[in-house]
Amino acid sequence: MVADPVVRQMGTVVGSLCHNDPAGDWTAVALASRATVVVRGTGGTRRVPIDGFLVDSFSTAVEDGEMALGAEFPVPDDATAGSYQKVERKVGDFATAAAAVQVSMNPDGTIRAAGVALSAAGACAVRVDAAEQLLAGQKPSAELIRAASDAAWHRSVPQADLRGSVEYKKHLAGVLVARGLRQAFARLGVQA
Amino acid sequence: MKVHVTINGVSYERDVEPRTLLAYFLREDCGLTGTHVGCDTSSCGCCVVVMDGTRAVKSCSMFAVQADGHEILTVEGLAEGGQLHALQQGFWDQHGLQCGYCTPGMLLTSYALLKHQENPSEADIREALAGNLCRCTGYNNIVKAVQQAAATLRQPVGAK
Repeated sequence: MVADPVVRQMGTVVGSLCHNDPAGDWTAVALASRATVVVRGTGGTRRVPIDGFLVDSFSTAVEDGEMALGAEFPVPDDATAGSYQKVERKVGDFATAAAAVQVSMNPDGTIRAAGVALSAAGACAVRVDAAEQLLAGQKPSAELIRAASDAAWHRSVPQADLRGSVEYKKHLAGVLVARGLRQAFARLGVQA
Repeated sequence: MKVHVTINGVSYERDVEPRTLLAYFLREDCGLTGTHVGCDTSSCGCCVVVMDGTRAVKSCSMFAVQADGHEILTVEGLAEGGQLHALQQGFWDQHGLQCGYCTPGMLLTSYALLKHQENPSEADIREALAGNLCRCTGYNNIVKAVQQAAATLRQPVGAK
């Protein structure tokens, strides 16, 4: 979400992506759901996958003379579900830690594809490639979720600040990925 | 840049720098200092004003030029003919303010809420006011004040 209800009268999803706060919500969601940002400049329009769009803290692939016009999110099919898990100090605050996950299932009960991303875990939101890879092709289980959670702990490189210590935020990254995966599987009616 | 905004029913035309924020336009260019600036970073909600009758916006996170051609309601425009608005009366009766710094934002966010929902639940009020901080922490009475105002405004016109 973008901040609180009043800020959302003006704030937008694409604005949040362009702001690219290390602890923003939409950047992690865009990574997990493999969004593409539509950027237009005098040279024409280009579509930038979110991984390349998020360059560094508060900086994106939008060049001088360009403007982000929109974001495209792949439409999830019936075998796809996601979850966003966040710990925040107050309503609408930036994340102390957050995890976005999306899973797609095969008819045989194995995972077709997984998206796992963290916010407040580095210079900008990060994709947990290791978790995505170990989930793909497997049947959901408590052990699998624990392995993905451990991968998130390893991938998280947070900064200590008023919201918490590095140790605390890394711990949350693992916990929130596990909670997100459990909720996503539950939304699909899949036993995990 | 020329900006033309109708504030509390009065037309204001001013020449401003493009980067001028609406909050400073109201306070410094138009002399309407009822709109407060608390954090300047869209966190606290002291600067909330209502745009085009129903939309509560944080005027510190909007450029004055974005309000060009629009109608803005500030706290100065709430009372009519020396009569407090139902929300102001509610805040008075329920002791909904202590230092008063956050009050203009609380009033205008609540004003927009009541335009959208004439009978909001306590949860609705707390959700709507989630972006307005009261550092005196007087939230319970603020919620009661909005509930009182909602009840007053639901009464048929003329009824007391």
